[in-house]
Amino acid sequence: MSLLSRARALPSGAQARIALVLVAVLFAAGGIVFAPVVTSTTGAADAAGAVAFSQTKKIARTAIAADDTVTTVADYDVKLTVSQTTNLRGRQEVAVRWTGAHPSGGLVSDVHSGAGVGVEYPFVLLQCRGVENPGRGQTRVRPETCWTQTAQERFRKDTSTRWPAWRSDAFATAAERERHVGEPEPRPDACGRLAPAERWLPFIAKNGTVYQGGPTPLADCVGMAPESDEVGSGSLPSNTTYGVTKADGSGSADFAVWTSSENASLGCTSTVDCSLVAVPVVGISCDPYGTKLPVAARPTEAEATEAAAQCARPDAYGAGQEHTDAVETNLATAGALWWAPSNWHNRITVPLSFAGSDSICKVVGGGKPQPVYGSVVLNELTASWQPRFCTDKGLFPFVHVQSSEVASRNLLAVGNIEAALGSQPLESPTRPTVQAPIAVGGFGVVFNVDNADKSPRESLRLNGRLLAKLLSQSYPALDIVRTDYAALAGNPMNITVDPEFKALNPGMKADSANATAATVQILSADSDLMWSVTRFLDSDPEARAWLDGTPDPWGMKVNPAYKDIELPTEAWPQLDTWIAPDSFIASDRNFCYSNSPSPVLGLVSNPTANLGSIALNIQYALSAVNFACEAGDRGDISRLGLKKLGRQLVGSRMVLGLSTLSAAARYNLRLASLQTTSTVPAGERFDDGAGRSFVYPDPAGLRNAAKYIKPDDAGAWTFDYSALRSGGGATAYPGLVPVFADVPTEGVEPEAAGKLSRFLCYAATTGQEAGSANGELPAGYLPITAASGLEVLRAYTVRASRLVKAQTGQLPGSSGPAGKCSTAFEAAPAVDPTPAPTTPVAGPGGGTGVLPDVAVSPNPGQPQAGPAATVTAPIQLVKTKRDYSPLGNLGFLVAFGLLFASLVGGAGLRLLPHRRAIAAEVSALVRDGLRRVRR
Amino acid sequence: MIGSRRLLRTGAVALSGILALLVGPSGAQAAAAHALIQGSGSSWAANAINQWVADVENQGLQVVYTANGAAQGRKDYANKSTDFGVTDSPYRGQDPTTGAPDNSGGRSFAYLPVVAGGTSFPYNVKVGGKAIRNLRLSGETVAKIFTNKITNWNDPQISADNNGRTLPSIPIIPVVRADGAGVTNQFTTWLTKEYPAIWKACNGKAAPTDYYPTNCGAANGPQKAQTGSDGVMNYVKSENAVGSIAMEEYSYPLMANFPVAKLLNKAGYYTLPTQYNVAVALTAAQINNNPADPNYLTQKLDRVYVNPDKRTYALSSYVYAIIPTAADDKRLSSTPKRQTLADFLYYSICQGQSEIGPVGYSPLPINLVKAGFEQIAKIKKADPAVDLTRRDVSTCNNPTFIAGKPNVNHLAQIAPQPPACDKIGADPCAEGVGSFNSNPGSTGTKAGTGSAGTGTNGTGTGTTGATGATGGAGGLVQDPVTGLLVPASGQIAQAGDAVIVPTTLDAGQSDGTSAVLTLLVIGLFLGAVVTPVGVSRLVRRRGEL
Repeated sequence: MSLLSRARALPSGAQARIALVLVAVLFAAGGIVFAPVVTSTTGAADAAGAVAFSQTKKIARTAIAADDTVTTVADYDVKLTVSQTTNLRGRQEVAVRWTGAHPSGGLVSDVHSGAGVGVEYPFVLLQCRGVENPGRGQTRVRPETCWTQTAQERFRKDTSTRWPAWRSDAFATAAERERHVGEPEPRPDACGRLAPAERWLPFIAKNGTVYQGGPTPLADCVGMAPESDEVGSGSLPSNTTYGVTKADGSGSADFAVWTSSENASLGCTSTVDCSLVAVPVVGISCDPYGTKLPVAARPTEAEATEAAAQCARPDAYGAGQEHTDAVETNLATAGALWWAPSNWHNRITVPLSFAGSDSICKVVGGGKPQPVYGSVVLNELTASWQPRFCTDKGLFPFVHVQSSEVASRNLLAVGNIEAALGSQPLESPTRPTVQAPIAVGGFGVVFNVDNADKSPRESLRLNGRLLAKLLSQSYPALDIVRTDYAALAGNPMNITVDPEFKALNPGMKADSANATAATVQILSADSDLMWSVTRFLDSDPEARAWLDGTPDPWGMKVNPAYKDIELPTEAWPQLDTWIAPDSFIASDRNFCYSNSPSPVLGLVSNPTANLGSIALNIQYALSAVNFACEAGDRGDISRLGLKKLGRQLVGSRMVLGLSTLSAAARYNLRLASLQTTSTVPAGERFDDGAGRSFVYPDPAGLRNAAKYIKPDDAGAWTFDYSALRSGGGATAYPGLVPVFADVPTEGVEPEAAGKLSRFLCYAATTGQEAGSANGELPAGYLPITAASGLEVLRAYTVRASRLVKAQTGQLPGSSGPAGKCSTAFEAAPAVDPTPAPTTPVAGPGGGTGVLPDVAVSPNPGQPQAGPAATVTAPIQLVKTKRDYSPLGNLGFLVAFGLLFASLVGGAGLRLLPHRRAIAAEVSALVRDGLRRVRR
Repeated sequence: MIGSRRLLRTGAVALSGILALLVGPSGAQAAAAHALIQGSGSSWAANAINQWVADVENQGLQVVYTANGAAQGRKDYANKSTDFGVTDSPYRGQDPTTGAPDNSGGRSFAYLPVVAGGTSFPYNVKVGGKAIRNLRLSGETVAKIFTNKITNWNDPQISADNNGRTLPSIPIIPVVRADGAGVTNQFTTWLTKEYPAIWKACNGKAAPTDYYPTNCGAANGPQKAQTGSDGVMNYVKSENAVGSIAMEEYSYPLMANFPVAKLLNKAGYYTLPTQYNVAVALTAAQINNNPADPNYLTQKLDRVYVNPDKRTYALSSYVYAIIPTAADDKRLSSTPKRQTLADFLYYSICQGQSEIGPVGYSPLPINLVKAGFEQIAKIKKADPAVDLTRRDVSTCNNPTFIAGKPNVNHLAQIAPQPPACDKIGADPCAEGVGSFNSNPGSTGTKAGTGSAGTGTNGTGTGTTGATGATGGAGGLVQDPVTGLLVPASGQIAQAGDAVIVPTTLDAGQSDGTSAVLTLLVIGLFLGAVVTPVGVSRLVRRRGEL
């Protein structure tokens, strides 16, 4: 009956898979029973350190003389690796690395901007629709199907010569070497006069629309795809990358791949094949004399001389030099000619395969979700679980309201909500409440930092004292502070000139002008994340002593406003009150500040209410220091507010933030190693990390820390820092943060109690299976399993699930066997299947990590000025792992049905007296029918 | 013969049935395609919108929201650099005070209310090192504070608001927004309406503005201007800011566990901007109900400010999404993008409303939700390919209305009455009472009890029910799903049934298919059973002839 009633309520949209049903019927009728089809997913998170694609290609730049002799100008063995090429999702970044390329010169600050056309020898990365050997219905990859964001990347004109370098391209056809190629016909008036030479490279969209591009698309000459910068300033940052090759021929970049959801014109989906195309620009192979051209088309001798001069020009920049407007790039080796056949034929094409982008939860009619409130540590976890919960009939949709844990516990205490997620023990709960661990995440210091040689830095070592220095506003940050604020006068300007930091992190540029290096971006709202961070600081002997007034070995002192600060705390307080002197205010050097003088170091610190914006700021190297004021702001009331310093230039980036391990994994951010123990005598100066243990949040580091999670007197599960410090904790990552669900076992309505009970069951079983598919435990969490040494937590949660369902006011003890989950739902195998060493948590170099262990340059060029933007990397929209194909069920049912029917039918037929007459009867029926039709 | 005909007919019916199932009804719909959309604007509403952005990810909707202030949000929209804007005030041609241009630059637009809330006044006042958490202020006091007329916390007018309890001499530091902000607009609109003389003396004219005239335009003064909601909250919370008071949407101080002033309403009660008090206040909002007017659905709050209900929080208001309605919009130019905007808005005004009450906002009432659907329909009008199937009131999980009573604001009805200690002339409530956006004791807790919707004198909103609770058992219970309080029985409905539940279907992409399969299997099974029997009967009958 329930099946029937469900069938009645069938939404019309469900007919979409009717073709599948048809196929299924045919197969099922043939007696084939389908095995359940598991939609393909990778079981474990793809490790960024891993290599999914690798190819080496011999490429060369040649030159053809007037007498047709070919000389090789330079040749290369270019090797390309890409971290992940399958099961990709929109806006995901893959790590691309190469070796053996020509060093780049004329570098621009943003490798993703159209300004990259002016770089010499860039390693150009593009996303293109199509593949090299297209199957049915697929496209062959070519420059016209490659995405670029700006017009200048697809249009060239030369007003001074008829023989720009691209016309001397030995690999180009005669048609491509004409003076004017690809020009729209008729030429719109808006395009003005024809230049001596023009080359148009249109973009062909998925739907067939041809966008001509052109010199001035905004002024009707001619037009770009809607996703390009020329249409609206709010586009996604471009993914086209003019990668920088270092002097040793190597380079790296993060490349964001797009689905049609991000860029419909490009149109990549799970069914439309696309590629990442790497074009190592080595320069035009010059054929200035036109030896490859038909005789009639060849240049005259004078023209050939000019063409040779254009094509064989010396480079304007040396390797690693920065681009300046004063020095004109050598076009022949510039990124502008990525599409020229000389460069294009050197390409390495990496086929990309995207995960299906089906909507997982329903937009309409999903039912009322169960709300749970609290912990931002769980953001990535709940994003993974939600699609599973809303598609699994044994579960239920839920919504995670990402509110402050303190506020959530308050709401729980007064009975406004039924479940609060947090990491602090409940203080005197108003009714019996379980504190059931559902995830073990962690805090981490995320960074986007460049080395002295301008390459992106991959690792950073911080100790508690350095973190305390950043938080306590003890670096002066700005000249005005150092000169006028006596309490900080003796302190280093920022962390990059702090001898302690330099000792632990050699190879960094000392940059006393970078105010952002004096602070770490933190959350302003109350959070158990900050509570955990400050517990770590409080337990660190060096940090605590320093906060209490003991100077560091070099004499740096804590900002007096923070001396003896009481820790832990849920929100780092803004305690410094120093305001710039009247002389500074009167000088109007910063009239936005003069307009409203306030504590300077508070503006440097400038915490935010949204954890997501910290990840975003680190990803794009956006400074949150609120001290910028532009000349044009004077006198304009609408512009008098202080602005954030904003984007930092590639090569001198230095932004730090406090975030979660899971956010770091999701946004591809690098994480610092934190100091656990030290044998260095207090007060002794040091110039390296000897005697100090630093732990990176890789699987081993997290597992080693797991044993320090212990039940406390209040029945909660917290990280025991005193045990960590007292010994054995040298290899334990100290930022582990257990998160538990506070759910009352009294007074919760049965429906909600049942749901929350199942929520706990799920958290204690299937929800701890690590992986990137929906419903699994994403990277950045340590599974609560026996393999992690956390069986006692898991058992507690299982016991808690039963009591939550029962609502009898009982509480589980902190030890004892797990028993069975309260509800029918228990999908996970009883034995933990996860072998410990493969637990995918963030970790570089370990092969299972999520973070790249080589140079990567973050993706700048963000859409709006808005550091407050919530760019949420989309969750992975692969089908739920246990989402059996309906075909399997169908096949089984039909086969069973037919079998039964045959039995019944056969039995009936057996009773017939005239068995042999049946055949005659059937043929008579057919004859009868035919007669009727004839009539 | 008859038998064979019947058999044929039966076969034909069965066959056509199977075929129909195989082919499917006309208008078969695949899941609508979605594409990334971007919006910017109000930081007042940002905490709610960011939550929704996170929520809809699992529906395949990608939305990027930048909280850069309402004024900038309107500019971004006009510049076509966003797909939608979020703003507190409509386009007004130009800022009434500064004259800064303020129009859509010719881009089509419609307004759609997305969230309600209260503009609150977080303050940092410490006495003997201890933070005061139960401050009460009248509107006039607030007006004078933010125009530098009252400059010390020991001012007699503040003492009067607190029933004679006098604070020590602490200079007041009013904190305002330095950038163009919706909160400034809402506050100055209220000043313009309620205290025009005070406001005119400061601003030069009695008109609202997005840009607050710091210190009434004077070069120096106690006021501090800070950028963004974060900047304002960071300042007020900072150590040297003792004596400061700011204006900000309630969710910001609530998430920072920071006290806000109770504001005196016309009924003589000092109230907090809880979801209930805001909902009650906004029952008096006058909404522009002329669909032909470009300002359709925008608010006139004059009556909200003076709403005589004693639960009213006077500075309550709505925030709007600005959405493009033209078929040839250059930015919102594809069906997948329009579908995403429509589905995001649908989520926002329905399910999205049910989860934001406890975190400092207030859900939209049904009349605005209904009107919101009309506005969403304009997206489909611009592009008929947009699928709005079942995106309507019947599937809308919004806690302000309940089945069968569409014209009653359920939330306003169950809103608790303020405690007696919040009445003018009574001593301020004890600390903790009214400090949280919570409700007088629900039956779910041991502490405190509540009154039913029509009850006379609920309780304060305390953490532990340390309030003069009256009411009684059988008052309010929590709705198990929304966490909101509903009457346990009686007047309205059973708690669990109080809100429309759209469907009993299990969610998920596979539900449809399994239903089809079920029918198909049953059909095949029956066919397999019936056919042999029918044939056998037929044969037997023939044999008898």
